[in-house]
Amino acid sequence: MLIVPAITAVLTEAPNYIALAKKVKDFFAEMFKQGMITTAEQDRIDDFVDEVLDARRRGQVPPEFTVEPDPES
Amino acid sequence: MRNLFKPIGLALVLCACLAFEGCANRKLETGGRYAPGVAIHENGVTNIIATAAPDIGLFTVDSTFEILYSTIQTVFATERRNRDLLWSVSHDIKHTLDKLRPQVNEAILAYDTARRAYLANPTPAGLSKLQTVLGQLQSLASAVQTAIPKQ
Repeated sequence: MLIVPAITAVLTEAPNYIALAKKVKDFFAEMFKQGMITTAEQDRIDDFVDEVLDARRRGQVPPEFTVEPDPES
Repeated sequence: MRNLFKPIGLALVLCACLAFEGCANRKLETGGRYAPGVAIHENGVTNIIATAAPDIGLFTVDSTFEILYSTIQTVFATERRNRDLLWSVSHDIKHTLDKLRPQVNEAILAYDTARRAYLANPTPAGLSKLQTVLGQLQSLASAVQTAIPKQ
């Protein structure tokens, strides 16, 4: 009796996972189209990750990632 | 019930990461950060010689981290920019994202810890740890995306 609600729940959740998985797949498919990941792309990724993680290590959290007070109703 | 979907989502994204076209033939151009090399000049010709084995595993997790982080940041920033309007629609949007914000920050710090450990001593176990943390971030990314109502 739980099967139908379980399947419904999975199908409800699935699109979000599928959309994100497709995004990742498309990203890598494009990148590997030529069979080679360029030095420029490698360095871009490394710079991005370093910048984000270095900032976090210094305690710098972007405002959109912080919990702020609720708006006044 | 919701906890049952996390391994499903994790499996979906990790399978997508590993099953893309050209997987078997993917190469990192020598000279990049994930395939270090040195330039050798000889007879007017410059060749880049590899100084270490290319690390496609690290490149893959870092690239996935970039996608997940950018996805999460976009949703957080969108909510923050349109906070008053979204608040008038439902208080739950901000409250749901506010529960996720600290979890995302913890996952990012966990990725940093695992990454530094891997860079200090690159091993399959270390890479597996990175992938595990990435899976947690993927679950959070999916939850963050779900919080904003779709038009």
